Amino acid sequence: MSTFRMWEVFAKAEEGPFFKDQNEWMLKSFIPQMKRVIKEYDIKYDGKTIVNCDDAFADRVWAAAKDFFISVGVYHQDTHRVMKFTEEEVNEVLYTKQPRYLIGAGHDQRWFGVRSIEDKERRPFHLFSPDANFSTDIHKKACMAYLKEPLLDGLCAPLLEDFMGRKATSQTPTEVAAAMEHAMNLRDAQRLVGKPDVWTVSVGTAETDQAQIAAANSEWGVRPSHRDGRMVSILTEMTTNDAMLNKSLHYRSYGNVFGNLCGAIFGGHAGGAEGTAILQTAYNIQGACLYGSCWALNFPFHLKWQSTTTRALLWLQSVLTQAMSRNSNLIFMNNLFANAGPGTDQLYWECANHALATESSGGNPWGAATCRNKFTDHATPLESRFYHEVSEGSFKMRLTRAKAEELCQKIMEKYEKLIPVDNYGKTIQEVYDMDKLTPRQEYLDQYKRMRDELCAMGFEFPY
Amino acid sequence: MSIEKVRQLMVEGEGDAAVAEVKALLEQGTEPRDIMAGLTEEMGILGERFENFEVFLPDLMVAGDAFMQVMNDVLKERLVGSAGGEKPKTVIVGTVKGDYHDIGKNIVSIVLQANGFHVVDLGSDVDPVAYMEAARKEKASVVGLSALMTTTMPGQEEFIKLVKEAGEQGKYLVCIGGAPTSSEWAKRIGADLWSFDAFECATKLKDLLK
Repeated sequence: MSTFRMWEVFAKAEEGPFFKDQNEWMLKSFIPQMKRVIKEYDIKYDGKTIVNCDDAFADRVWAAAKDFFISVGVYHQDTHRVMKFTEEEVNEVLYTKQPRYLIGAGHDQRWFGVRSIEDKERRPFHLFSPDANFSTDIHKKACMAYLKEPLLDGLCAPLLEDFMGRKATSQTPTEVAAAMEHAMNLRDAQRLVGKPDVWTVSVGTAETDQAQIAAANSEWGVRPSHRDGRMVSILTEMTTNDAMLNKSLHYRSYGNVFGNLCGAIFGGHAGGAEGTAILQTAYNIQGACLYGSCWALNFPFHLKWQSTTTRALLWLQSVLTQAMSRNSNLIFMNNLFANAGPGTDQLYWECANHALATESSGGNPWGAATCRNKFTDHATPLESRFYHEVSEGSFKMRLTRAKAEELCQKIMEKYEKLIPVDNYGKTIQEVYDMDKLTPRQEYLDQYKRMRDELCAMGFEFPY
Repeated sequence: MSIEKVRQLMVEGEGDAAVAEVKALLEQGTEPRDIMAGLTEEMGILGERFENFEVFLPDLMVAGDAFMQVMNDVLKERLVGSAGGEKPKTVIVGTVKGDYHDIGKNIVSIVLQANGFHVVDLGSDVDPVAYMEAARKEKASVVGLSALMTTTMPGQEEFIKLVKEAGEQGKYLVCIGGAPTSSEWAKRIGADLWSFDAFECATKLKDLLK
């Protein structure tokens, strides 16, 4: 099955085994199968390591993930049927998967593709994204502020909170209109900062299929010409519905280089770090088979903290990144969700650790989302700048996993105890001069101090 | 044959065996409320271990499933009918309209059941009117609305507005939750309760409904 056989895939939603209740499927299939593969493939976490250095272990996680996906399939909420894929189908998708895409246009055109562990040739693809809601009055300016960042290869713009004074609400005209406004702001912002052809992933404001379709427009919205990115979610856990399949159909027919948004929950249905690592790896296979997605955005997150920077979460991202880098042509990015907010030292440490753990494992950085993604206007390009500079520095230093592990352990000491604390920091209006779209001196000083502190640990920034 | 054995079977998710054990205990003359107290205590222990990440959601789910099987198959009727038996408070739960994420709501359901509440789960993508109708039908003490996305959070506000317009404010508590929500949001929309997680929700509800 190639990624183009979408109609055969859609038919599975009407033909697979029937489970009236999703919970029944979870108890009878998902949970026992997960327990089985954890045991069968001997997947264990020692509770201390941050960056995995064991290739054989990464390979076992890959094998467990593939086995799990084939055994369990995908639950379709609307038809109550399980969409199952055979091993032959999965192998065909994995073999025929395109390992890189040329995206954007003109001066801003880039290759986006697979990398290897401790990659010495292919630099990470730097996707900037605050993954946060921004107020309508500053949305376009915030897009411009992010687009100004020198390392930026692509942008996923902040979400719009309101439309004409009304909260953007799923499945209503306000969501459709906010999605259109989001896309327009992004295109305007690109022109105004001289990056009209940069690759964008949009529109995050649109949760529903109809709002995504409404934002597709060559003149003012999402462009097929630049192969702009879109996203379609895997619902928790291993679940989909017709709205998601509608999105994948639209993205494919429109010509997007679109991704599969997937976040297994640590502490959730897959259990602890071991099961979550397997599930998150399986999601990358699922996205390619189910949606025909060109890439995946991995955001396995902590059930309690909703962040991706705890010890176990960093470990499982290093594992899944290595598992896929060693065993597949699947393209993916690693999504940073920090606990702390802008203007806090803790946020910088969390950014550094996520960048180090994922780059050395063969990943691509996507970030930075802050303060558990809870508060409007709580994200700035400054922490994203730091995050991507650390990732780029890691690449330029040819940082080994062993060295990354050493650094990550030191950095973890700086913030691990602070994770339960509500350290939500400042808004973009407080950190930035919103007329000039530059950081205020106080926060620029902090950013420089944090760079110096990281250098004192033996890290080298590229510039 | 002992309550201890039933507790163990429940934790292992052996619902059928737990039901058989409970039936035998009841025939022996064990009080239903003593069995219920033992099971509730065990679920509480499991809940604490889950909160500390010593066990995980699957452990809670299989035990919760066995717990509900024991409750529905043998204990429920006997508890209501027994002397001093108090009918549990009913909580309606669901994920709001347009939102298909249900893990948070599912955890809340399990934890509330473990704390002695009767939970009616409406699933995900729930229309505000459906919450209201369920609250009326079940004579609920609480309606809990979960939202995982910023674009579906207004569904919580819409329900509260509907409750006010229907003149039903105060008839039941409106409790909200979900990753993007906060105490500030709850205050802004007039919800009675916001909790950081399922355990805080159970504790607060028990206090409020004393």
